[in-house]
This record gives sequence, structure tokens and C-alpha cells, in this order.
Amino acid sequence: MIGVAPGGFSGLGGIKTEMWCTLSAHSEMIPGSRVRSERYVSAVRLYVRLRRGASQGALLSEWQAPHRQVRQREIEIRFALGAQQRHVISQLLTENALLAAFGATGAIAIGRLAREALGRWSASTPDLQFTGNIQSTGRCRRPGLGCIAVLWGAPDSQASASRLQAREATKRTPRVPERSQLFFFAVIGVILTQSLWRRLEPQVAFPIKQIIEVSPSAGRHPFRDLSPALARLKIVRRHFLPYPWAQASDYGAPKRWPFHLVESRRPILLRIHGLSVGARETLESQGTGYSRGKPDCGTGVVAAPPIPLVSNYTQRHGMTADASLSLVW
Amino acid sequence: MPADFVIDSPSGQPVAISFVSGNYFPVIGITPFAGRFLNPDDGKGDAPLSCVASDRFWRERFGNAPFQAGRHIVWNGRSVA
Repeated sequence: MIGVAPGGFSGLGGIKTEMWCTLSAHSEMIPGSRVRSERYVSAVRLYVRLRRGASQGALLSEWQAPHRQVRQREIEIRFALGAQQRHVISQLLTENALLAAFGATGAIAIGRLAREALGRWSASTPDLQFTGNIQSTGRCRRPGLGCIAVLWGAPDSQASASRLQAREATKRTPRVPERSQLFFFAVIGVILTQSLWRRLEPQVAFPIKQIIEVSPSAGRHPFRDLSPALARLKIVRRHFLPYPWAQASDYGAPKRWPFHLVESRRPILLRIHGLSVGARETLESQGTGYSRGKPDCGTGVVAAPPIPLVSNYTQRHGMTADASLSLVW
Repeated sequence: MPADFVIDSPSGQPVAISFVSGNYFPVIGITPFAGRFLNPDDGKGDAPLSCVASDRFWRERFGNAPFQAGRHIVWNGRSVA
């Protein structure tokens, strides 16, 4: 034995592990082991932990790489099926035009509402009336708001009066957005819609059937809020890790380690918002478990992706995460 | 637990073993109570079989004896350090 685990730690699986050995030792310790020869070994679990500082944006940008490949392949298949180039191009243009129109319409509507609200707020704000004779003596006996008002209102000149008249005229005139303003809002809307669509694209690219959004309440253990959300799904196995032994320096505070493992028959996307203490960030983890044939035991065993697929996937896409394989036998 | 497997050790007492990759413990990020954890170099080539015991396992099998690196257990005729 080369070491002893800290007290209370008994592994990540459901069983209370008493010894940890290397994967290579499996074939030597277990007669008839097929770990190395059998590609689709069940009970192999992939544990992934997000690196510190790994942000949602970084993960999404990494996930966009496979999406581009999927899109390219889709177009290649269309060409292979006989689609003409102009049909594919027109389809892509239509898709983007619809997105742009949707975003522009929404942005114009929001812009009009914002203008009206701003106009009402401006009308309800009392104008600063000051007609006193200001003499700048360089001394102010009552510093504060009064001094600021005096300085802001002075000098009582023709210019300030004309500004007041212009403001009154503006209040009486119905506000009609100018074309330049509409164009500005439309451009902003197009940009925002494209940005939103890029964020949604990875979910479309991956065969994710369900998305779980969890926002743990402040002051409660995050997994307490996560549990009922997952209970609605057909999760075969769940691992909630309270990690009482986590170091306080790891992720802000003990017992709040952003580590979540979900094994499901179907791919899911799990989002936990604001899990990390002291930082509002979104952590994402994609469970890609699948079931192979009949469950091995009463409650069912979900096998993680086979080892070759896992290693290929993580290496090919360079995911920003540490990964480890664990074989519970 | 029904979904996992417990191996009967030669001595007759069941022992739950997890076979893990070398970066299992670094990913979890915990520190060993005594000795060291497995690392990616363990299990490569002719390296001896190594294992890490849980705190409970150590106390039940070795009492309150202080940890000594290199204690061996025999498993199916193989020595595991």
C-alpha cells in the first residue's frame, strides 16, 4: 500500500470503496478480466471536473468546434443527395434572414418601449428653475446639493431659457422614432440574436434530449435543490457529492464543491447556476451515459462511453476539463 | 449496493475495490491522509501493483498502527503493495 485516503472518503460510486488500484492491475487481480479486450465494458465511469476558471463561454466555444463539423457534414450530405448549390445557399440565407428579422423586430419593439419609458421619466422630472443672481465668490457656506444646484443652474442666461422652451416643446410633440434610431435598434437586435443563436447552437449540434436548469437557493446546499430537478427525469444513477473534506481553498468554501455527476440513459445537459460561492457563474456538464442491453443489476447499470470513445472525444475536442476513469468492480 | 460489485478476498472477507486511472485522485483534488495517492506512472510497464487504502480499511485491518509505505497484501497469489 502506498497511501491512505482521508477519513470519510470512500469513493465516488455508490459502493464504499476500501481499496483503489490502478486500471492496469485489473487484469492481473481479477481472473478472466476483459477490461482490455472488451471495448464496451460496463461499469466504467468517467468523472470530469471543471477546471478552476473554466467559464461557460470557454466550454461553449469548444463545443462549437464539433458543431461546425456537424454542419459541414450536413451540407456535404445534402450535396451528396443531389442538392444544388443554390438551394443550399438560399436555405442558409433564409435561415439567417429569419433570425435577423426576428431579432430586429424584437429590438425595435424593446427600443420603442424604452423610449416611451424614458420620455415619461423625463416628463415627470421637475425642471430646475433658478432665476437668482449668481455671484461666484468662491465660498459656499452650505456645501452639498444646494451648491451643486447653484452651479448647475447658473448662469441664468438666455441659453438656459431656450433649453427650457425646447424641452417643453418636446413634451408636447409626440415622439416618433427616427429612421436612424430604428436602424440602430435593428442592428443591435441582429447582433444579439446572432449571439444568442451561437450560444444555442451547441445544444442543437449535440443530441441532447433534455436540459436541466437548476438555480440553487442561497444558503442551502446546492444539491438539495438539484435533487428534485433530477428526480423528474429518468436518471438511472446519480452521484451527489457533498465533499465535506474539500479544502476551503478549493472552490471558496467547503461542502459547496461544484462537482456533479449524472448518469443517464439519455444525454442531458445539466446547468447549475451560481453554484460557486462568491461568484456567479454557470457550470455545465454533459452526461453521455448509455445503457447497453439489459441492466446488470436490479437498479440498472449505466455504462459510460467506452474508453476509446472517451479518450478520442476529449482529445479531439480538447475539452477544458480534467477527466478520470474509474472502474468499479 | 446492487449496481456495484464486491470481490471476495482470499481471506473470505469482502473487499470493495475500485480500479481507477492514475489521474483519479488528482481530478478529485483531495490529499492523502498518509503516504501518497496513485499517479499516472503507477501501473506502467513493470511497475509493481500499487493500491491505496481507505481510512476505514486501514483502521479495521491494521488497527491504530501508524502507516508504513510498502505494506503488502496478497491477492490471488499476487503481491499488491
